[in-house]
Amino acid sequence: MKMVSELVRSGEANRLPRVFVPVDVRHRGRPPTLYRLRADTESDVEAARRYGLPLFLLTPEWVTAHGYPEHFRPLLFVWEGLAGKVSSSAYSRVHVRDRDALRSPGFEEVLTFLLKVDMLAARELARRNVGKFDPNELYRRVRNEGMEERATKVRLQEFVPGLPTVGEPFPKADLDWAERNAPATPEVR
Amino acid sequence: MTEPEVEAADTILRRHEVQYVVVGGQAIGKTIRATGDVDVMVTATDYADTIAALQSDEDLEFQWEDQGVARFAMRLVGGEFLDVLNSSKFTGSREGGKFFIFLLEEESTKRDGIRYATAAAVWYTRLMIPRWRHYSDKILQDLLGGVGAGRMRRVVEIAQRFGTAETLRKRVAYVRAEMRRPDLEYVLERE
Repeated sequence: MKMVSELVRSGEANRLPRVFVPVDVRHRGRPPTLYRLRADTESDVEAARRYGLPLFLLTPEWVTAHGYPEHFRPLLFVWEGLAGKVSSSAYSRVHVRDRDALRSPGFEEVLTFLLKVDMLAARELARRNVGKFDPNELYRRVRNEGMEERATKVRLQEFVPGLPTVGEPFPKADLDWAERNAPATPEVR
Repeated sequence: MTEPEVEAADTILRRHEVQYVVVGGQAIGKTIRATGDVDVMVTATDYADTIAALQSDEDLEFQWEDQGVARFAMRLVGGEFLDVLNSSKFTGSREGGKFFIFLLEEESTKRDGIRYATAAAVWYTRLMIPRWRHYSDKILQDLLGGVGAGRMRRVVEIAQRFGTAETLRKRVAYVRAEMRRPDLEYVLERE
């Protein structure tokens, strides 16, 4: 079973920002108008978030600010219930199972998002932030997203005790090599 | 428009009259990852001489050489890496220079005077190296950026041509399984 949803105008939303694009206009007495979300800029994403939509834009600035300099096009993480209802000419979309994780994502949630698309970066970020995050919360987020197998590949259990091992981890020597060749933490002046 | 890192690498390699093809993420315009590193492939017969020549270039700082890859830091662009790959590592059962000739003649395009490998050739090189697992996510990131998943079919054809299909069989299967993950939203071309 998969929960699906539709975007409809709620009673308190008098003027909708342009990010909400009506796709199926209905008239009085008929079922409500359906909308799609079009998020082409950071402010579009912010506008949608202000209306309570579960989505989050992961930027390279966030990753760099947590000690791992990265350059990539921002990625839009969207609750899977909205799959197919969010379009963007600027951002690729990645689905998130747990709607709650998108509400106000902290380090543990965002690291789990990153794990979906760049496992080595996720491991490196965890390694560089040991002591600054809650391993129990990271455990919960990884499990909620069903990312145990990808977590196992990069041996995230080293930082998240008790996380179930699913599948084969990458050879330790390979991970050590990646660690040695990862970009250095930016200096804070 | 040529990326500054590629331009810097080109300036240095031209200085030493090295024939090369860009084979890393810089060759794939659509990827979501904007890498600063530049990966270039040279033919097997040129590899040793190229490394020796580049080691004496004052715009480069030699880092290491391992398994047919030599890494240099480019001083002109803030220390971004220039990785030089020996084509013999990708040629399988065929003679050392064949893969490089194949790249030049069939699997690359020229933009602004610089030759870039196709996405399929880049994926093939990523999957052929011993640390291929590191690069599997980069292939997914290319898909998210808009590169068609059908390129994997071409990767298999390249492997068959060079007798490396057996080496790549499990690796391609692994990436294809990842490509089908439901949480990544992109058009999965028919393969």
